[in-house]
Amino acid sequence: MSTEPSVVRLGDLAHTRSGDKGDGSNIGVVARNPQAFELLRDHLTPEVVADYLRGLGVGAVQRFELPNLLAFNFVVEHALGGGASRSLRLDSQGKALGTALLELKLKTGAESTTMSQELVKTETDGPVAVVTLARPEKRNALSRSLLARLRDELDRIETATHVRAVVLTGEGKAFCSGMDLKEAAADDSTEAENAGVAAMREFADLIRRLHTLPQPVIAAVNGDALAGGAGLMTACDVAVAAERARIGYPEVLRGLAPVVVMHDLWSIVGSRRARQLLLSGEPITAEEALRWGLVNRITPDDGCLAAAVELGKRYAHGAPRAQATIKQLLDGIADGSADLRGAAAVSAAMRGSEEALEGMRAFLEKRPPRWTT
Amino acid sequence: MTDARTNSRPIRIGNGAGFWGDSLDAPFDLARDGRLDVLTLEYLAELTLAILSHLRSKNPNAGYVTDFPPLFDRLAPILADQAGLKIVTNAGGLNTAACAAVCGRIAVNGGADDLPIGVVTGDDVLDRVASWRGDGVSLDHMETGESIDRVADRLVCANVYLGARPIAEALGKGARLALTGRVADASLTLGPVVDRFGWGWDDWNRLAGASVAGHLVECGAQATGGLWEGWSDMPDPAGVGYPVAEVSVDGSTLLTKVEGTGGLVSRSTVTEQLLYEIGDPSCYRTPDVDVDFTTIDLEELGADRVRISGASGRKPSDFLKLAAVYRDGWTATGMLAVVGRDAERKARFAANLALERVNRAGFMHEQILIECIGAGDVVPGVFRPEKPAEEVLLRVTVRDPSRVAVERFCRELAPLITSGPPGIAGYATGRPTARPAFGYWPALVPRELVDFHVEVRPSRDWAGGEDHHVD
Repeated sequence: MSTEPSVVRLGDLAHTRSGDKGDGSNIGVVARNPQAFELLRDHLTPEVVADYLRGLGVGAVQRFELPNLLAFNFVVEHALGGGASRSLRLDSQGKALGTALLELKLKTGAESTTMSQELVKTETDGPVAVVTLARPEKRNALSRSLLARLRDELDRIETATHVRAVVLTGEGKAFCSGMDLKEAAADDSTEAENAGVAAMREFADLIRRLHTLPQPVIAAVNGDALAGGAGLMTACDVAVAAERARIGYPEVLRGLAPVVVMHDLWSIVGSRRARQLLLSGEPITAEEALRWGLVNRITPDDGCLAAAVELGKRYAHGAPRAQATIKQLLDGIADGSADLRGAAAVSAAMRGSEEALEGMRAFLEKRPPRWTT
Repeated sequence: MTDARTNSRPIRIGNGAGFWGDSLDAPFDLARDGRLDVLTLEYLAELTLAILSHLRSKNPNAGYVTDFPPLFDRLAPILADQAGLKIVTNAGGLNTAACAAVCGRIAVNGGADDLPIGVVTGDDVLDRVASWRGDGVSLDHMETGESIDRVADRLVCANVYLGARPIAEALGKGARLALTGRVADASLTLGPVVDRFGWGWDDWNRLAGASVAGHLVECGAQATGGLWEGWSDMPDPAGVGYPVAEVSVDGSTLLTKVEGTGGLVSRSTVTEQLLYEIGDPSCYRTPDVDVDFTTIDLEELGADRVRISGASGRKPSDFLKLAAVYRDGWTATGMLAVVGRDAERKARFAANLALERVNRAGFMHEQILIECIGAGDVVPGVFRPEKPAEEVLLRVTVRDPSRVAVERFCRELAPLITSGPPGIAGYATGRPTARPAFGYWPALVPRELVDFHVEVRPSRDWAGGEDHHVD
C-alpha cells in the first residue's frame, strides 16, 4: 500500500479577485478561515503561483500579506501580454486570472503541521483505491474541507486509469456521522449562513461525483453511517457493512430532510421502507439493512474493509468502459428520466465496441479477457 | 475647524457608476432612494481619455462623457427636491467646460438657472509636456523605465491625476454639481468628506480612512455582490444596489447599500473589493495620502452593513501620476464560431488561412493574436478544458501601424465561410472594422509643476456656450 500526498484545490480554501496593474495583474486571495490562512501562508508561495501561471509568460510574482483580512495580494508582472492598451487578448485586464487561480491544486504534503490532520487518506491495493475519511475524533463528520478533499480525491481517481474500483470507508469506530453540524452552527452571521449553503452544495456535488465516477464505488461501512454519512453510503454503488453498523437518517429529528440522497434511498429500498427511515429518523441495524437491500453483505466488525477490497478486486475483472456505461444508464433509470430508446442505441453501439469484441474473443478462446484502460 | 458648514454627522456618499458604460438606472435610483449627501460617478478608465481625445479631434466641443448629460437631465429634478444633495463626477473628461455648458443648459431648461456648477481643471497637461521635457523633467515609463522620446510626438492626451483638494474647494464654494477631468478615483469620495468635516490635508489617518471608502465604492456594484464568489446565492442580483459609504468624522466607514435593493454587502464582498487592483497593500498611493491597508479592521454590524476602520495614512510622495496615451497604429478583431470534432484545430487552421492570404496580398502585421475561446485561451497556457472542445469561438486580432494592412485583414475573415474548413458559422456578425489603437504611458510628474483651477458659477453662466474655456 502506498500513501498519496495531500492535495487541496485553492478554491476550497479561499476566494479571489483580480484586475490589471498596467502590464501586470494583481490577484487578491481571501482565506475562508484562519486555518486556511495559515495553510496558504505556508504553501501558496509566490513561486507556486508563478509556476501555475507560467504558461502566460508571467514575470516576477510578489506576495503581500494582510493578516487582519485573512488575505494575500499577489502582484504578477507581465501577466497581460502587454497590458490594458497593448495586449490583444480578450482578457486584457486579467479579470479571469483570479478565477483561474482557484483551480490551482496546492500540494500541502502529509507532513503539513498546520492542518491538524489529513482529513482524507488514499491508499491503493492493486487496482483498488481505498479512500478513508480520517477524522475519527469527530466520527468522520463532513466538514467543508473534508468534503473538498474527498471530491478532489475522487477527481484524481477518475483520471487514474490504473484504479479500477474505489472503496470508501471511515477511520475509527464510525463510518461517518454526517455533516459537521458544529461547523455549520458556528454562529448566525450571513457568512456562516453562506458557508452552510456552500457546504450543502458541496455535499450535493460530492454525491453527484460518486454517481458519475466511472469506477465502481464500494462503501465499507465499518461503523455507524448516519445522516449525511448514510447518504454517502447510499450513493455508493454497493455496500459492505460491519455487524455493529447502524444506518439511519435522523435529519427529521433535527427538523431537516436528507434532500440530496432521498431519491437514491427510495430507488434502493422502495417507498415504504424509505418512509420508515426518513419519517421516523430511527436507525436500522446492519442485518435489517441487508434484508432491505440497502447493503449487499455483512461482515464481522474487523473484516469489513478487507471484504470490500476483495470485492473491489473482483470488480476489476469487469470491462472499465462497460462499467462506466452501466453506471451511467442506471443513474438515468434512477433519475426516472431514462430514455430506453437511447439506452437501446447505446447497447447496440456497445456491441461493436473494442471491449465487447475482446470479451467475445476471450470467450471463444477460453481465456480471461484483457481489458485496456 | 470652526467652519460653519462642518458638522460631525456621518456623510453618506453613494457611487452610481464604476466606468463609462455602467448601469443607466443605478445613479438615478441611488439619488432618489439613497438619502445621500453626495452622489459620485466615476467614468474614466485608463484608455477612456484616449477615446475622448479621438472624439475631440473631430469636434472641439466633444471630449466629455456623453452619457452624463442625459443622466443629469434625469437627476436635475432630484437635485431640486433634495436641497442637500450634491453630485461629484469626473464626467468632464478632456473637456470639462463643454460638459458644464451642456449641463448648465439642462439645468436652465429645467428652471434652475442658478444651480452652482463647479468645474475643476488643470489635469490636462498635454501642451506642457514638450516644455517639461525641454526643462529636463523625466517622464520615463513608470513600469519599464523607457524614455518618453519614442512616443512623445504621438501623444493624444496627457493628464495628471488630481486629488481631492479641488473637489473640496468646489463644494466649499457651494457647487451642487462638481465636474472634473482626471482625478484619482478615491478622491471623488475624499473631496466631499473633507468638505464636510474640515479635516486638515495632513490628517493622514483620517484622509486614509475616507480614501479606503473611495476605493471600495469606485467600481460600483463590485462592492455589493458584483464579481463576488457567492454569485449564485445572493438576493436579487438583477436589482443589485450600488454602494453607499457612510464616512464618520473619525475616518471610519460604514459600507452599505440602499434598503430593498439586491446584492449583498458582507465581510466577504468588502474584502474582495479592498484587494481589487492594488499593489503593495501597505502603500496604496493616491495624490492625497499613502494608505496602509494592512491595519484595516472589518466588522459586520448586521445585514448589508460592514464597518471599515483602522486604515493608517502617510504623507504622499512629491510626485503625481501622469496618465499619457499615445497613438499606436490600428487594430481590428474578428470572430467566427467553429463546431464539431477538431474544432480547435480547425479554428487555428482557418485563422492561419486568412493570415496567409493577407501575406500573399503583400501585407504583414506587427502583432497578431489567434485565440480559441472555449479551448482555454482566455487564460492561455493555464486553464484548459479536460476534454477537447467541440465548439470554440475563434478570435483573431491584429495591430499594425498601417491602416491599409489592418483593413486587408478585415476583408479576409468572411471568405473563410466558403473557403475554410467545414463547421464555421457566424459571418452574420459582419466584417470587422479597423479601429485606432492606443498605448498607455504612465509616468511621474513633480507635484509643484501641476496647478489646478476651480471655478464655481451658476448654471446660466455655464449655459452661455461651449467655447468658454477656463484654463
